[in-house]
Amino acid sequence: MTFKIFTEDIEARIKSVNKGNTNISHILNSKKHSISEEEFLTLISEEANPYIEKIALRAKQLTELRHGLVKGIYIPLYLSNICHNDCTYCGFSIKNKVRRKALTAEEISIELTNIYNRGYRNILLVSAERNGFSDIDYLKSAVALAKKIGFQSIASEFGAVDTEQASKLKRAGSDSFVLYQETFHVETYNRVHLFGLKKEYQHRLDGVTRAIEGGFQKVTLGFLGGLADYQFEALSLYRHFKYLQLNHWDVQFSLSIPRLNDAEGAIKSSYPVSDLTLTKLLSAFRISFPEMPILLSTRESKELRDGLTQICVTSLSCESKTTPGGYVQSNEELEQFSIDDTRSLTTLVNDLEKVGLEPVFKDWQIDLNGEF
Amino acid sequence: MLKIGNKTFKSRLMVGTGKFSSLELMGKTLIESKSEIITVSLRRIDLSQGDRRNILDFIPSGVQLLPNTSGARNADEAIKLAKLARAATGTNWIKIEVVPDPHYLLPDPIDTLRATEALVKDGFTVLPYINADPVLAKRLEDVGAATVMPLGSPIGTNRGIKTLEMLKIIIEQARVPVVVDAGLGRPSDAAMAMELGADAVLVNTAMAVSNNPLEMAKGFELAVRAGRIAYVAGLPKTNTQATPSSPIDSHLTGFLSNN
Ligand code: SF4
Repeated sequence: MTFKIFTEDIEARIKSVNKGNTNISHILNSKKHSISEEEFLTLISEEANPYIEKIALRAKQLTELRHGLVKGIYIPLYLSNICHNDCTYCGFSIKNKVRRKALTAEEISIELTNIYNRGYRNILLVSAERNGFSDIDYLKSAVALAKKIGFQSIASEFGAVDTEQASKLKRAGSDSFVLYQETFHVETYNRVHLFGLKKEYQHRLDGVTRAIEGGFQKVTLGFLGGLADYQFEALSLYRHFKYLQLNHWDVQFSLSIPRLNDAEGAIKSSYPVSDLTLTKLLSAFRISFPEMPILLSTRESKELRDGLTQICVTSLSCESKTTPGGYVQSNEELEQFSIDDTRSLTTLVNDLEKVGLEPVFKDWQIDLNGEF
Repeated sequence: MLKIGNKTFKSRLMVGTGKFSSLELMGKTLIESKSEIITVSLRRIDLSQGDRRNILDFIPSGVQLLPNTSGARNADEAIKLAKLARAATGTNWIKIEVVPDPHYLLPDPIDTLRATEALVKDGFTVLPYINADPVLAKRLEDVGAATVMPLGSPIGTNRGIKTLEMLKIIIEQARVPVVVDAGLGRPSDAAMAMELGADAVLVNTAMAVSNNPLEMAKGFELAVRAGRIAYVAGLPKTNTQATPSSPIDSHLTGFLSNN
């Protein structure tokens, strides 16, 4: 049995929801452990916009109860921008004539050591996707290097791997797996993914299950805001989470909704996700899944990150470079997307402390990763 | 006095160190709570001696440190973390948390029992966190657990004591101290647990995310003492129905005086 998205069904469901405003307070005061799909849809409806303050307040309460006043800090390291796919929204697309670079083992080691010495213990390793994922051994050794250097939590964002590849990454020491569907809307998906393995919608969608079968017990999912109607994306993701939780009760799922921004050669968003909408979506997911970690990257502005961290975000990246390497050697022209919040680690830490939040660099123990 | 393993304590309030808005505030709250047993996640302790602040430096000296195995999803992981904790902190006390369920954070009874048994044999003083399951509590006692720590309601829900009937049975049957852990959202919940006869309670979220953790710590400290005093004094019996104060018509036994 696999998880499938039925476009008409999702669209009809969104239309059918009774979005009566009076419902909102009722939903927010619910004593249940979580809310229903119908209630989730009410919270993300346009009619709910005027109630955003109340929705955010409820989200904040649940975040504090479940996650406290601590915020995880992580940093991404891009390993390679050699890509065999053509995604119209991405600067690394095979069609774009940008300089390609895959860090060598030595370069990876230098970058990781630099990052580690600055105090980071949680790392997100990112790589563009080569077809057939022939470079699994390359990625695996990057994970192993990170483990050796002393990182306590190592996330892998390498595309939709197969089960065996996932298992190799897990055994090398990666404890969490990141996979974005980009868009759940099949027609849109086919329109923006023109070439490469990533073109296969269902293969991508099933990637999460394969990662879990390969041994991952922490998985981050999400969509790329701006490709299709946000309610469609949100309901699809909601259903995907529900499906996954039912079938994998012992896996921890996290959420992240990055938004399209300008990258080299990229298309403009046809369904822009406003700050209000993003706040509403993340809050509604928090209210539906109180336990779920929510991540927010530096592609968002300082103001938005500060605001959402008060409400529902539990994990923040910092000082990110989206070029391969970039912490020791800078390669400005190779950026995948541009960074908005450029605060230094010291500034971010101070800003969090000022509003009564405790930045946490280590909340995992490497010995819980991989084989022992 | 509360006696756990071979140690005795004046305070019956244990406090957790997660979720606080700053390590400084956490440290002050711990002092205000007068707690003598303080639990900390091994996974939060930076064993690399990096220059970032270490949570251990903010825990008042002189208390019994109770490292926990939070993050472990099975017995093997818990055992591994327990040994790391012993090496890192020098104490052989360990709170076993084996939590494979990331949604409600409910503990795994089978692997908790396995880990407890193995660690007791290895010389640890083991305090397992469990669901309010009386049979499991007895099984843990049998393999040498120093206490049992049943939950009042799921962690981080502040829902109070929802496992009341099972807690009563655990307390009635226990030969080791019973520490009610998790879900105590307000001092009255803690007082209630103590009135029931719990030997101690553990509180974290309710203090950490309170608007005023220091005052809340005081509140809990008082509540735990109040509940304990009441329990020792013996609570007055309550009846669900009013007792007739004068003899009334005895329909059932009327025949006895009918001759
Ligand atoms: S989104 Fe990923 S797969 Fe698509 S072009 Fe960019 S790097 Fe390649």
